[in-house]
Amino acid sequence: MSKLKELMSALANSQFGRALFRHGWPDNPKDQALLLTNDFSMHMFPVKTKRHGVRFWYTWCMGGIALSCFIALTLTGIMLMFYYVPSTARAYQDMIDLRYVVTFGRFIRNLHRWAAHAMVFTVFMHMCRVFITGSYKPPREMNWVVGIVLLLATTLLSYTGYLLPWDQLAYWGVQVGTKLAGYVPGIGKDVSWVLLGGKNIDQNALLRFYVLHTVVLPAVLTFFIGVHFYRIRKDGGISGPL
Amino acid sequence: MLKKLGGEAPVSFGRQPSSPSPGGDVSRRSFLTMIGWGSTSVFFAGVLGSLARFMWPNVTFEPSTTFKAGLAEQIKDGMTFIENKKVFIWREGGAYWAISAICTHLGCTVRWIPEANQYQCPCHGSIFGPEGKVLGGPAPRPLEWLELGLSADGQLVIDTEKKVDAGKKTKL
Repeated sequence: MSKLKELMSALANSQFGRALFRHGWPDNPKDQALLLTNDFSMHMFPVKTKRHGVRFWYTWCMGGIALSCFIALTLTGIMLMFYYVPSTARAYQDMIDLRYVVTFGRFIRNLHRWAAHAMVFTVFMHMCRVFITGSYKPPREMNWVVGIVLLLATTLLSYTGYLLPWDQLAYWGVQVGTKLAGYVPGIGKDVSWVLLGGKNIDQNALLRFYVLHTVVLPAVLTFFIGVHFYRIRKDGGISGPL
Repeated sequence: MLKKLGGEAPVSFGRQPSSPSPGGDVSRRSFLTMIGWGSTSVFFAGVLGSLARFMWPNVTFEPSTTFKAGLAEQIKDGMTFIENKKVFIWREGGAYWAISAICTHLGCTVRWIPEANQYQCPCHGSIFGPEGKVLGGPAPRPLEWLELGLSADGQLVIDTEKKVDAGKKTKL
């Protein structure tokens, strides 16, 4: 047993070990406390939190669930990208193959689909909670605006993902959506032209929606999630009860 | 709040002009700063502009909007629907006319319902009369009438981009 302890202590005190455990192997209460409070994740999470902040009925945990949905969507989305080809000839068949041919394909695809629905719902409920608890008030106005950007990015992700199955629902949904964009005075026609990469919903449109859905919008969302969490700490942690 | 020191320029490093320049009260320092930020802004505006322009395609490989719909004399009396072009061709003896099937509301394809003698849109319930007039629903404009001509080999030629006035029937 002492041999094992020696080995652990030697490992923890090696150069590699010191990089992980900056205070040495945590074998006493002080180092164990330091291990927690100096943890890398504490750059994001506060070391201390207010008692009411962990009460479920204060936050409904909606922001956290929305983030969990986004992580699940990223992971399942990467899985789906291994089988899905964004071409008009293959897209629909690849989606069908994911459901009926690929092992666990239906599970992964449905996880992606339901997490997407859940994310839109939880982001909306999160905003309701922030509104009801008055958490948008100073000094948190900026984070409310960042939240609006996150809502917008979530909605656009949901909309761009809608076209990718390339079925009737997708086609007509996007037909209606881009025609709606076309009604914007002045720039409407340009917006729908650049979204579709042409006049019709065709290969260009599918590829554009795919790139927006898998690269551009997730990058924007990830960046603003970072700003959002940073602002929570800068604004003094979670808001207080009314 | 910073207190202004008797109207003097704020403290800054480097050499200061001993007296205001003759042209006005813009110091050499702030002039160069403006030049610097100005040219940087122009540069980045150009970069962003080029990136935005890149997204507008100059050439698309979409099917032609002009198509031949078959021999004019073989088109049957009444309505013929060209499904992949979304066009209704009507014939009444020697008179031909073409009506676009694209709903003027949000672009779904309307259906001709013979029993009701009207076009109906499946998406949001717009209803059009046989001449394309809006009878109900959210559609803002009547269905488009399309230009219709005859090719050298006797086929009907329709261009879905060329609109004509409603009620303009072509005698062939």
